[in-house]
Amino acid sequence: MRAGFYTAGVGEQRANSPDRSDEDLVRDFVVGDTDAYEALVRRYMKPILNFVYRMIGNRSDADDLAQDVFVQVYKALPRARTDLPFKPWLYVVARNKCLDFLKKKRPIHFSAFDNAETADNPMDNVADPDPLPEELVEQADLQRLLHRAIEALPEKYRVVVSLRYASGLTFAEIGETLSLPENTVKTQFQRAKASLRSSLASLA
Amino acid sequence: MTDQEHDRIDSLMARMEQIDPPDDFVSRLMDRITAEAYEARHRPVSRAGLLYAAVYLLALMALGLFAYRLGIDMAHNGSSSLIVAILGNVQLLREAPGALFSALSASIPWSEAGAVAGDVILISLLTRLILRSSQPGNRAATPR
Repeated sequence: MRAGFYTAGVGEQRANSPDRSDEDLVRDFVVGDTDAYEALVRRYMKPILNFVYRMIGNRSDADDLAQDVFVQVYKALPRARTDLPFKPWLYVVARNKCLDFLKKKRPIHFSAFDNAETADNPMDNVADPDPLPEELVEQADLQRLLHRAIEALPEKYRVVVSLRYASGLTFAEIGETLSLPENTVKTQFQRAKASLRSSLASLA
Repeated sequence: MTDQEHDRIDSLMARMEQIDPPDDFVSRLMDRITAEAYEARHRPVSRAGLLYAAVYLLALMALGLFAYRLGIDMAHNGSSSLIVAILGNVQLLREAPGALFSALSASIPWSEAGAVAGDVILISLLTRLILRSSQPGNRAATPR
């Protein structure tokens, strides 16, 4: 098969079909149905992208890394156990990718987010030089604040916060992803929120 | 704490914007997967891989030869009979451990045994090298 000949098709319908569980799609993919894999990607690309983005802080890198996650999953799924839940395992792969990326990357200093060339700022895309409505400015400030507050968290807390807020996982699902008891996850989450509260207070 | 309990931090974080994947995310991904699969199928065998495979074959043949020699020597000098006797009556180990140890160390053909052990280690090393030279760039995912 040559590159560039992919066209969207059945996968989009399957992703939105509520009766097709992740495990059904995985089983179909393992026996050769690529549309089933496409359906899984469509189902999870937004939460995974948001999780990765909150973990690493850069949108274009997040796009590339999210792609890497799905490529790795594609390669590993045929060898994986199809009886285990797919979603926690997917987030394990995503988390590991993010942590590897962060290890290789140089530390980000807060001043980098004040640089208009590197910050993911909604205002960057606006060509109009006239002043923006106040609400837009406030919203952009809030997003920047939330982004920096998450960036300031230690990696352990950032993972929990990103899984909870960016990807919407339940505590049970986070526990499965991190191989932790649910109560431990809740404790870590409370500590992460306390840290987040302090970061927000100091950054605001 | 339940999933439903909400505080001010939760309310604030709920206002965090969710970014949307680009429209071509899936098509780029599937194109990339297709291209990588194509490259993997048509990747030429590396010179290092061929060399390791050749040495591996020689090591396997040598292992057969060394193991045969070891077996023959152990049968001729009685060390295999001694081992069988010990395994059949483990009490001997408690009754006369020193004597047994001396008899074994004198009878076992250590050079042949060393050659077998060394060859096994070499084969293990070559197995790792061959697998590494045939791996594509990406690591395997965490096993489920």
